[in-house]
Amino acid sequence: MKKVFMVITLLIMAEGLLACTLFWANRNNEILCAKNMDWSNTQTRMLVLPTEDGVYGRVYFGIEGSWGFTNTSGMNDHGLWYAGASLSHRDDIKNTYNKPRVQGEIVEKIMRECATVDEAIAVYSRYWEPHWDGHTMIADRFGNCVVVEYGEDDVVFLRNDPDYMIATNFYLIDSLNTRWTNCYRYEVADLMLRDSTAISYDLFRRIADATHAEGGGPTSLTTLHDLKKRKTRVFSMFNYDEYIDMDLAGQLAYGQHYVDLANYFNGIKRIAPLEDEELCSDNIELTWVGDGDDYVIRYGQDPELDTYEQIEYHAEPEVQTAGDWKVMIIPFISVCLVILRGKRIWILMIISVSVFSSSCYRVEPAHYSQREHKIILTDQIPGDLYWKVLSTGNDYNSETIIYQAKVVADEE
Amino acid sequence: MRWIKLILILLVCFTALHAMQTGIKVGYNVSGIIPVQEEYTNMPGFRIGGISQLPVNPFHFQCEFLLSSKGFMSKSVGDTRLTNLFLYLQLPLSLKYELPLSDSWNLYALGGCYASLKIIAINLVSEIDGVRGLDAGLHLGGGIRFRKIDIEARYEQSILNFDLIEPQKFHCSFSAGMNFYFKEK
Repeated sequence: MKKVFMVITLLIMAEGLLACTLFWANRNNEILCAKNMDWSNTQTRMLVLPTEDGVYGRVYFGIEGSWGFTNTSGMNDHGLWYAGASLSHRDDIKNTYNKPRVQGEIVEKIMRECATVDEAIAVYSRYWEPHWDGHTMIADRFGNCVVVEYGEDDVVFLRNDPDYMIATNFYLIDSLNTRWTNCYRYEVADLMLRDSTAISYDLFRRIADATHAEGGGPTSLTTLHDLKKRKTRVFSMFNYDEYIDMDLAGQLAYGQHYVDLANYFNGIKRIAPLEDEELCSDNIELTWVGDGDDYVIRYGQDPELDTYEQIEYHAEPEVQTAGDWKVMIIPFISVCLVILRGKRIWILMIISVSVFSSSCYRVEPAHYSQREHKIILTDQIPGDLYWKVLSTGNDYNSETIIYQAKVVADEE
Repeated sequence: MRWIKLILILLVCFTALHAMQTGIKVGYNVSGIIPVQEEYTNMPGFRIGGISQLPVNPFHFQCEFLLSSKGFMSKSVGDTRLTNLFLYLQLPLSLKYELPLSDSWNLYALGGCYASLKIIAINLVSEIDGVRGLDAGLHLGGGIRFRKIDIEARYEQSILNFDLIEPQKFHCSFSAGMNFYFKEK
């Protein structure tokens, strides 16, 4: 009941539906940042633009619409990262100080020309850009982070304090509405970052999972960045079991390219064994689902799997079922037209058109594959067993997080 | 849910037993917060639901079951205002006094109390935490009746503080709307 009314309410307020979660932290000599991109458009893309004269190489993540590519986050080869999150619309923003405008978006200029947060702030201070109904988080590899948003008459800069920053969909400078803007995504991320002593990709993955959106504007893309190493980890459609790791230098070496990211995810997820499930050392079944045909399964006693054994797995090509039943509809109707007469023909036509048209509705792709795979390990040493699945054979190969199971000695 | 079902059953029984006048109610409302504060402004909303009334000489006893929006807009950065919307299922009970003007026209005044069950409290950022689930208050209003139609204005104010985190906030709303009865008196 409550969800029905939630939907009705959100429909009423649909014009201003807001989303995206940004977070950054600088702790234990690591600088990580992330964005959950929540958008009804799930056509996620990556655009890589190589280094040119006086222009830094950079990668953008975003979506493709009828108008083309829209970047919503990105990182350049100097480890400067930006990401945006939407805010409510404002009509009161003017170019109060008659600043000049840049060609294109300011953040694109910043990604092309800036290496530090201070340089980015200088660009924002010098140029004006119409309000894009959002705020922007910018971080560099030196441990600086700033959120840029419009204040009363111009942009304001909110610097990081303490060692992490979060931005969702309310003005961080809005001190009047702290009672009403109790965004659960902000509070969850805040709690998880506050309570952690060290940061890691795994912590950021868990924060992204805890703050992801589903439904009409799902988290279609999650990007985690290591600004010091210029590395990126990408998750698709809030499947936080499977990711693709990228190295910016490696991407830039390929030259300019534009990638449909969803194509490289296989919907991989562990089926069994479950966490801490006890398994007999002589018969360990590792089961997962995934759309790909080729995998490598790594396993071992090292929790990080720095040392491991591995098995290559090639799935039998998926057997196509009797074909698409919809192709049978035309012969079926033809036969019926010959056999049936009168009202029955019309009834048949109505039923056929209804069934056929209803089967043409676009269904969102499942986040997890339905295709199951299994390998069996024997003669394993009792103790903790760690394992992961890597897909192979693509330009971008996805892999899973590391799973854990417990191996016990065979009773015989 | 049990509470809602009970209300529905009671309403149906009430109607069936007494063969009262029943109808539907639609209206526009403007709601806000008491006490009035500069940072909070009123916001528009709606109310829709069922209405039934039973003659109890010289009054009418009126019972309604409404989906009603309340809320307010809070000042944010620049000229921005954050819309805080509260949806309630509301059960107003009123005593109504009618003053006949002619065979078809009646003036009336009404007053009573209501109880509300919060369905959702939301703004564009998030669902709002710390809002009391039940609300109750008083209302006062008047209108004019022509055959099967009432045109009515009403003011209502809650007597329970709705904000559990920063207390001393009460809903108030002014509504204007119409009642359509299924049969004439």
